[in-house]
Amino acid sequence: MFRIALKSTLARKGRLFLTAVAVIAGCAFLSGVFVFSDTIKASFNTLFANAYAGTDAFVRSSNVIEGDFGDESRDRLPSNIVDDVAGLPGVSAAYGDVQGFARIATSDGTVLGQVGPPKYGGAFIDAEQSPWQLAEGTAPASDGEVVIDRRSAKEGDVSVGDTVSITGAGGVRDFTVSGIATFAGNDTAGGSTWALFDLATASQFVVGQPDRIDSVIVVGDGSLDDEALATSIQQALAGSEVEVLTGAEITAENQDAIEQGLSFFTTFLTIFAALSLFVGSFIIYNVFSISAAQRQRENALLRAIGASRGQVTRVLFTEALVVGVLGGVVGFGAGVLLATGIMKLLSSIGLGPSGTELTISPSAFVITLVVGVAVTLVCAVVPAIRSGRVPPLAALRDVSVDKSAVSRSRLVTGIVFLAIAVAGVALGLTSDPVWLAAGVVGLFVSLVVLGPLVAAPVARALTPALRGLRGVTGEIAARNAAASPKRTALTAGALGIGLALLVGVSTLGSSIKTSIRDTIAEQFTGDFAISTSDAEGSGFGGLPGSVADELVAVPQVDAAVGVGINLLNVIEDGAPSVKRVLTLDPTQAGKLLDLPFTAGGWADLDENGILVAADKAARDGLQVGSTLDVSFQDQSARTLTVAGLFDSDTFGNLIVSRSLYQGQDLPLFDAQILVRTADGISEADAEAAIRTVTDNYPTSKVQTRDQFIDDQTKQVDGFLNFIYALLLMSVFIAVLGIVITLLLAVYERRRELGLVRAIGMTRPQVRSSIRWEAFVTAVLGVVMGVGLGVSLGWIVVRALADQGLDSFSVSGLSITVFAVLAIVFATIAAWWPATRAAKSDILQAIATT
Amino acid sequence: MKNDGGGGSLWVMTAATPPASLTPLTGTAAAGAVDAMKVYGRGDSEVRALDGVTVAFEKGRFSAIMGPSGSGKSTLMHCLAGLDSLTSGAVYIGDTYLASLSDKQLTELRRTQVGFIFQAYNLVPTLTALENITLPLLLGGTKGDQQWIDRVIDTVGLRDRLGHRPSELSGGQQQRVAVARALASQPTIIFADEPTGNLDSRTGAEILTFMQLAVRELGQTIVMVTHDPVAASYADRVIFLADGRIVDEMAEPTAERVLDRMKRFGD
Repeated sequence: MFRIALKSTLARKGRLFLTAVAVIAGCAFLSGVFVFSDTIKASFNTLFANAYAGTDAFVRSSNVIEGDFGDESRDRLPSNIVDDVAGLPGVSAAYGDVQGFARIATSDGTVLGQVGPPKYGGAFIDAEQSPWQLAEGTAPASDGEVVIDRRSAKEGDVSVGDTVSITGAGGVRDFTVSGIATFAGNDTAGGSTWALFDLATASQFVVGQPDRIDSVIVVGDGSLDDEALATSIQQALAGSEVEVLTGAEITAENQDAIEQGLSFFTTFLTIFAALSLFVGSFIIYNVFSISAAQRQRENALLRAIGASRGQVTRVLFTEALVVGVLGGVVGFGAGVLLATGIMKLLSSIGLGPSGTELTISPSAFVITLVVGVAVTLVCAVVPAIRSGRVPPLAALRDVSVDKSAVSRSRLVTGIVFLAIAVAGVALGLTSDPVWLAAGVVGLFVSLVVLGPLVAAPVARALTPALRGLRGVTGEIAARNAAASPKRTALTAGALGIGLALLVGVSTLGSSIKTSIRDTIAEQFTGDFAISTSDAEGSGFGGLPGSVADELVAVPQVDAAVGVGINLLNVIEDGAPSVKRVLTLDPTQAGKLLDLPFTAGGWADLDENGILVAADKAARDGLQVGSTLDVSFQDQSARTLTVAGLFDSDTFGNLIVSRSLYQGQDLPLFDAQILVRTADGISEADAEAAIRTVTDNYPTSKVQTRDQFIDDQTKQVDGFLNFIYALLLMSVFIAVLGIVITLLLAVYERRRELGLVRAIGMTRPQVRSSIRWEAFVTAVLGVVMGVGLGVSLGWIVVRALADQGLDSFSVSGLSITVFAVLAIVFATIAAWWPATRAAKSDILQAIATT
Repeated sequence: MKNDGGGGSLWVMTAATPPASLTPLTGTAAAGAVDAMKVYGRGDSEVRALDGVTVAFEKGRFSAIMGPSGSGKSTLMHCLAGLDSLTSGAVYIGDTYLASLSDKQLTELRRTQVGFIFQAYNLVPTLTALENITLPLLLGGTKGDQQWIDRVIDTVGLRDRLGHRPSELSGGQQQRVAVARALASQPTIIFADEPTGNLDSRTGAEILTFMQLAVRELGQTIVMVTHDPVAASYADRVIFLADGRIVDEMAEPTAERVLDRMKRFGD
């Protein structure tokens, strides 16, 4: 029986291919994700292995500063520790290292590097063990010289001897390029830009703390193994707060950190791959159902001549197995190609490691294959069982079309699931959010169950319009779509789910944007905002604090407040925990930031005060007048008094006056400067005046209030576009599903098509009828998708209401764009089945036997 | 009967004549073939489905084409109707030679000048009876002659079934819809391919009577391919085909005479 099944499967290569296409597409995405992330992981592993290849021991501070958001930093070490270490037995050389932010701009002000990878500054270690080796020129010999990575040199066409302008913690300074370096043979490390100075300059200019370094890289003389070397250094430095690691340990630590970071990303991508497989499973199920219906006579014949039910069922399962294996293997290959394409794309725009070979792990192949086969077999269960139930008598009847009408029990089941969905959502929003999962699953299931009930009426409702538009071909198209409601509904349902995700995400995005817009519009009463592309979170780059002061001095400016993000140790329950705090000048802030205070206000904030978000204050039992103990990175302690409470989610939890940091050797950066124009000054004049100050800072971006608000919402757009791109794969599979279903339908209707051709339907009319059928299916998909998508969006927005998402907004424009695109793509993609149909052989179709 | 075998309506051409020279001769015939050859395969496996058939079908008459299996009767009909093409020779409908037509023109010709009744699978399952009847007209974007369509519908007795789908009609009713559809556009000629092959004899007789009515009372022209002597007896004239050639012809056939003639093919 297995051989018969295999033969029958292989005999119909067209059908085999069509069925496999949906599996292939789904598996390709999945394996693409695996191969891509494996490759990235491997290239980072190589990167770190190279970076620490010459390192036998690594010394750093043992003082870890844990952040609120899992971000971690370490205390710095005094630079004289380098000499201490160098003098220890077993040590051949010790080099101090520094890492921080440094932005390189060419002499004409062009900033080098891309958005994404960080811009690093550090110490150039002139030793053969360093991964950085000079390609041209010499090591930096004075505080006016710098070595830059070769990628940056190529990008900015910078040669040895040129002058570059570098922004670091120490401000903006010109440096002469003394050399150009490569990292382990590559132009740069990790796609970043690197400015490497001599150690003293790096400490002073990059981190802004003279005589402080981040770590010491130790090269042994070979008398001790790495373990023993690390132990001996640790013992020699006993008493100081240091931690000594072997080269292997620091390599592994960095590799693990990257792996953890990537695993989030991989999980994220895998979710989308799973979604496209889910959408693909509709198609796979549909193809097996249709194929089972078309083979009804063949199966009945098998039954009539003595095959058991189980045997007939197994024939279809065998086919599913073949399809699954084929789809998994080919899909894996396609995924490798996909990953290659993405890697090529990334390296062509300068991101990611260049010249990396793809890492193809056996587990990626096995998982893809297993998932492909499993999904295919699961999808084949119902059609296989149904084909086994064919009565032998069906062999004598001339029926192949699955015309099973929609039943009452379907309606009841659908309504039950819809009720579950509504109840789940209601419960989820009012009590435990876990119920939301049940609600969402209920929604999807009811879509699948109720789809066929909706399909026929929608198709029928479209009939008059199509008749008016395309005459009888339009009518035939709509009728055909309505004739097999289950099939049409499943095909449309796949598209519907793909679209629903797009629409849901767009609704969420649109609501977030509206919330942001409303909040900024309410709270920011100034006229201009100055931002920089270099702000990288906690005190790591941005505009020097002096810019805001310079702006305040401009006569056309009424007020200017620089907003910085810095770290502060807050003593909570006796233990210090590092918090992000906003630093600003309260006297300026009062003039243009209308923060909704529930107690106190800007006027109450002095250098000994702190403003706390109302919800945090409620959690921690703080009120105006309560005190908070804090400490800085240099361990000096202060006590702050709560000066006010505010009710806003845009400014974090804690706000302090920037004067609090006076006397710290920590330079303050502002991520943003908000400006209010003096009365009677035109926007153009004000902007010109502001630019006289900001033009000294090449990456600063001056925006009017409206531009600023638009820009804030654009960040959401960037993320939305990324998600759209990932979801597009699902929509692609769904459109593919329409094509596959129509191809099978064309095959099924070949006699009917021959008949209408015989009695005078022209080829263009045949093509048009198929294309309009795709149109009807797509419209149905759009109806389902938009409905489900807006519901999903609403549920998520409501569920996130307490996270500050207080507006629900549906983006009519993007929904229209998705809907139109889906319909247009489906109609265009239908050219293949349409051409097939138009080519149908009349004589063969009307042959009696 | 005006013409018996060998008479004016049935030309016997001695050579493959260029179609253009025949144009004046097509005046009295609804359709015909001139030295029609249809060859399948090559060399040893060559099969001559039509081996020099020349025939004309007069307007306003009911003709039957008979012959044993493989005699080429279906091929002849398919070629005459523009569904298949000849290897050599010519076929015409009205005053149009089909060889010179593009697929689009052929389709147009089938829609306006040819009606079809097949053995089975005659109707589009998703359309109602009325829509099936008027489908050729709808495809051409015309309404047709409403009075004529009403007359056709009444003739085949389908007035109360017009809103039904094919699946809701009996086999006989489905064939009546097919007859009505073939008549609806008042074509030059109607081709019927074993129209009663799937029906019981009583229902078959009913359909054949309708076809007879269509010729005698509505003035239509029908060519029917059949292997059933009883069906052939409804025609005005029977043409016998064997091995791709016309071997005999009979006017005013009766079932017995046709059966006798058919038996001789076995000899």
